[in-house]
Amino acid sequence: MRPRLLFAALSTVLFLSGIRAAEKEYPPVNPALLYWQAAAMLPTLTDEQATELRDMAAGKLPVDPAKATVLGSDASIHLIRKAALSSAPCDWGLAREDGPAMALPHLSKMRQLTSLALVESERQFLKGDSTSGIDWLLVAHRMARHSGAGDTLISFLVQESGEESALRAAARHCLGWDENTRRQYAEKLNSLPLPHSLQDSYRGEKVFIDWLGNLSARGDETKRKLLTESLGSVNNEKESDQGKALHNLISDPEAWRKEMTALYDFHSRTVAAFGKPWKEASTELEAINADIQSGDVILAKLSFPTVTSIHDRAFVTATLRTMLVAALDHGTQLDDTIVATYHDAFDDNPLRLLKAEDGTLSLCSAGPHPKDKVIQLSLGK
Amino acid sequence: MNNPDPNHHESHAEMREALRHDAARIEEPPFNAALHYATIRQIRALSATPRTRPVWKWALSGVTALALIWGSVAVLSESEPLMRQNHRDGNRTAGTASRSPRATSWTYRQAANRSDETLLTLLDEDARALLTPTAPAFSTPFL
Repeated sequence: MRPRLLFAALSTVLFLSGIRAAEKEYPPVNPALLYWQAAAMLPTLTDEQATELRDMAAGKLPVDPAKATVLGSDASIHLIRKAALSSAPCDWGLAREDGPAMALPHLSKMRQLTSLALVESERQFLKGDSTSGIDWLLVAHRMARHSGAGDTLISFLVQESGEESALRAAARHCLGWDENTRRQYAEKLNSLPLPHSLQDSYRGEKVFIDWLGNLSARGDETKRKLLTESLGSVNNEKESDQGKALHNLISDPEAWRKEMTALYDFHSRTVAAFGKPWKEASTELEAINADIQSGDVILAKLSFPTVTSIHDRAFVTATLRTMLVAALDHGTQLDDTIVATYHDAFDDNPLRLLKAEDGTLSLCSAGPHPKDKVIQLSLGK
Repeated sequence: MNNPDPNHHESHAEMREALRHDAARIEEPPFNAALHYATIRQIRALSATPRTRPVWKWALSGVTALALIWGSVAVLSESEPLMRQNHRDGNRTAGTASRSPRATSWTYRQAANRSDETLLTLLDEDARALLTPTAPAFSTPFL
């Protein structure tokens, strides 16, 4: 037993020292920089090609290997993988001090690159190489989570969209995998860094309020100019009641200060709500929204985001994740009883199994959440 | 301007006559055909060479070109909010990929306030408009 333990310990030390030596020679690169390089090497797509890329990634169109090659480039595919596997923190270098004018050009490119990763995954499955196909699914998951880095609501939404695409892609194939493959995929998925939470992402939105707060030190004209430049036509409408109120607010420092205090209060309440279970949080978010609409905090009316739908979005992804876990755990052995042991993320209601006339299986949420929609995950083609 | 000297015309005629006399005394060399054709070739070569443009003309052309570029950029910048508005109104046009997207947090947040689909559509349009390659600058043939 002792020689075995000694051998295992020695192997581990050698393995880790090998990794450290490699990292010393080539330190892991900030994935954001690698993604930008991949984006720079993408070909220009026509409207039709862009649609084809999205449809192939979503499984709406069968993957045509010849077309898939044209939609990306070997160099960009190579860099996407390298970026997704990088152990360095993903830093997009966001100019937070710009507040509402903060540029987020990486998000649109990340959507395109994630679609490419999913198409590459489909291409591998088509070739019969499940191992590579699964690796590319994990690349897509990692990319979605890198998109979420930056702690803004939009980063969060792009992360959730990427996660959903990867989950649905895995669900299309997982019933064709043997038990060992399914278990390995589930383990690898679990070992990935967690997605960014809605609460953390919303906390980052404080930059909007900080930016408005910093405006108070500026002159009226500068304040008006910066508001117009950053918020567009919103405060240009001097004829509207809201426009007039904003016009008066700009030249009243005391009123501006009170608005800032109210904004920070709404922000704190919203951050706290996002940490609660879905039902409790929904009630609180509706109350916050009602307070904003019925109150006289002009800046809140202008700048407060629609948070209820974004909140629901987070629970949709969480429910889809549970559905995929159920499918990975049981494969073709899924039945009504087994499925009912898994619950949705909204009200903790048991999931349901649907069987279409053509034999296709789907997992469904029990309750009509959110807004009369039933969440459904198709298993198989 | 008139010459104030009344004897000027006469003295000028005398000088001219003296010069003609001296010229007649110079012996004219025999006709050299090789030298003649070489000279003709040189003259033709000179006439075929493009004339050097004055510096001020180059400067004027440069200023005109810069003014045209600046004007085009100004027109495109003015038209961008209109295109963005068209997008908000749901009037998507085929040529949207050529616009310059703002890609700001505020723009995307407004799109998200409408719906997830509006945001994702805007992002997909921006993906085609941002960082469009003009040359295979980073092609790596070894991959």
